[in-house]
Order: sequence, then C-alpha cells, then structure tokens
Amino acid sequence: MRILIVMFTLLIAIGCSKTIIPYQRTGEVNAVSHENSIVVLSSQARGESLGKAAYHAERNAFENLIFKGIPNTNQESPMIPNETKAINANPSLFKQLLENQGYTKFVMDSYTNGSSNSGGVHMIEQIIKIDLKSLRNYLQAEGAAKKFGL
Amino acid sequence: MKNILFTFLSIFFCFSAIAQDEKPTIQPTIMAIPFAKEGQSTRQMYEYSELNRIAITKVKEAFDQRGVNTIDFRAKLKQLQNSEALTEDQELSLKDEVIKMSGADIYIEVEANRDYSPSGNSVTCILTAYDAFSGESLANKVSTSPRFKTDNYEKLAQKAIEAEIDNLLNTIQEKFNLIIENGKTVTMEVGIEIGSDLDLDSEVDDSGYYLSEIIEEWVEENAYNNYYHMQGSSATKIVFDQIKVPLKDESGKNYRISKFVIQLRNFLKEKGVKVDRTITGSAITITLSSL
Repeated sequence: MRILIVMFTLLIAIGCSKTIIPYQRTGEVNAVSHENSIVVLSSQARGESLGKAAYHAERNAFENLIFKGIPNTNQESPMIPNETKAINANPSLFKQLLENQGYTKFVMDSYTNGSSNSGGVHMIEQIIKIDLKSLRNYLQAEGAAKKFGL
Repeated sequence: MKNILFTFLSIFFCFSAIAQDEKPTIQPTIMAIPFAKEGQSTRQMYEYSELNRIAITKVKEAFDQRGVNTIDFRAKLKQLQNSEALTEDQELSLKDEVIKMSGADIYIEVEANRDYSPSGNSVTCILTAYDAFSGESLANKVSTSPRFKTDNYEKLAQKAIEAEIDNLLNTIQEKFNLIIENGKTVTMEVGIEIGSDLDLDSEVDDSGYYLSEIIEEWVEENAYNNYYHMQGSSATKIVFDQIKVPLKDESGKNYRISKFVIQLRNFLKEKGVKVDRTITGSAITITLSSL
C-alpha cells in the first residue's frame, strides 16, 4: 500500500513539474530600425516562463548580431566572422557575455511587444535597442573582434 | 622586499615582451573624395556642390568616430593648389594627383544627389571604396535617407550616410580579411626592350621551354599559395593581371613588392636575361633584354 502511495505521489509530482525549455539559437531576429551606431531588433523566442523567454530572445538577438549579422541593419556582416575559433580562443568571455547575460550593459532598452502561452510554453516577441559602438569596442578591447585594418 | 619588487618587475617586463611580439593591426588611412564624371574636375565637384561637401564631411566624421585614420581632402587639395597653378588638363587629373600626394591607402568616392518629391525630399549617397594603389574596388554602398518635408539636406545626407557607413567599413574589413588569408594582388607586365634580339618565344636554357613558359612557371612557384592569373601571352608580351604576394614576410614585416621582383631578376640573370623594372603601387612592369 505504501509503495502505491509513493508511486502515486511521484506521478503527480512529475505531472505537475514544468517542462524546461532549453535555449536554442534561431534566425528569428529581424531589423526594426537603425541609426548611427544604434540598432533596434525584434527577437522571438520560447521559454517556460516569460522571464526565461525574454532571456532567450535577448541572447538570440546578441548571438545573431555578433556571429551572423542582421540583414537590413547597419550590422549586416558578423562582428566576429569565425564563431568557433573565437569561442575556443576565449570561452570565459563568451560565457560571461552570452550565458551570464553580460550583454545587458549594451542594451539601451528592452521590452516585450507581444506574448502568448500555449501549454505552459511562453512565446515572446522582444524589442531590443542595442548600443553597437560600445559592443564593438568591448569585443575589440577583449581581443575577440578584429580592429579595422589589415 | 627587494626580492618581491624584482620578481614583480621581471613578470611585468616578461608580459611586455610577449605583448610586443603580437603583430599589431595595420590601420590604413582613408580619404573621402567627390565623385567626378569624365570631363569634370574633382575640385569643381567639391567646391561647387554644397551637398558633396556635406556628404564628404559626414563620411569623414563617421570614420573618425570609428577610430579610423582619415585624411582631409580639402587640406590636400589646397596644398596641391598652393604648390602649382593648374592647367585645364591638370585639373582633370587632379584626382590622381591628390590621391598620390595624400598617401591614403584607401579612397572613397562619394556622390550625393537630392531627390525632390511632393511627399518629401530625400538624399541618395553612393559610396565606393577603392584601394589607392591597385584601383581595386573594395566596397560599394548606396543609401537613401527617409523622405522628410524639409530643405535641410545636410540632415538628410547625414541620415543617408549614417545608415550605411558601418556596413561599408565592415565590407572593407571583409576584403582585408581575404587579403590576410589569400595575399595581396599585384599585376605584372613583361615586355621586351625595343631593338633587342630576344623574344619571349626564345629558348634561353636546355629545358626546351620558351622564355614565356619559364617565366610563367616561376610565377606559379613563387606566387602566394601558387595563385596567379595570366591575361595573355605573345612573343613580345606577357600580362599577369593577378599575382598574389604575401601581406607580411617571414619576420612579420610588410612584404615589399620589390622583393618579388628581385627574386625574378636573379632567376632570369642565371638564364642570361637582363631585367629592368618599374614598380608603381602594386603594378610591376618588366622589360627584358639579353645580358
């Protein structure tokens, strides 16, 4: 009888626990506007909570900006062309910048433009205003991005 | 205490030495100039067009903000005008003179045009970056400002340039990365001295190959990553429109094109062929004759 109670409790616990949605980079980052050294991006992402979805969206925006470039902006080319080489050369820098949200110091504004919840999965559209000049200078100072020149 | 200080200083100098070993980035100098059609003078396009002056100043400002070394076109123009009175023909070749005198590695031609419309005015800027030595195009961008009901063309030109200047710089940087990887391009034209009994179809050794074939084989062996392209060859001329040479030599210094020519001269000397050469920027002209 005891065994049955324990098993039942475990089943309820598993059933009630939230599904963890891991971060996954996607190409769902689009240009909103750009001016001088500032770019405004719209990034879509999913998460088990609104906070987690916003984090995934911001991280996705920065990863696309740094390693891929965003079409129709003033940063169409990647800031760092060879992602694997750069991360292998300086793993702690990118862990701090991307995983540990070090990118927030380059965010001038970030807000949720729309969200929906389907079966515990929050989908979000985050609008992020980024200071490109400071980000570029930071990556150059840390030796991750090349300075202009040969 | 002395020991601690000594250890600290040793570590400091050791790190300094390591830092100095790192190859610094060579930062090229850039000059923005107005675009001039055939028959138009660069000076006139600058002095008579306020919009061009604004656009050039905005391009220069944008580069300065990015920490790129720029050369002031106006200052160089004045310097050239002070040193000599220009004839009409000289006016037309002023662009080449200014570029040569300025020492700029890259020049950017800027063309700014107004666009009037009932729904608002805008400015379109065409920016084209060229390597000052080879004339090779490095990047092109066209940018149009949003339409506004205003006559403030300065602001419109600024908006158009700001929208694309980062992308222009990034495209130039992509070209630089390719140069670092694949080497820089030089051109070489090999000809025969007038009156010489030598021609490129002569056999100058026992290999059975013509002189032109020997030269081509040498170029293939000595071009960076063996990359070259020959445009054409005849008994009197060979034109190589692309030969890749390294950016840096073994010691990390800038590779001098004259080094490439010296090697070719020494090689041909052994075959009994005399080499006269002229090097202009990245263009090599070789004139051959019998020793």
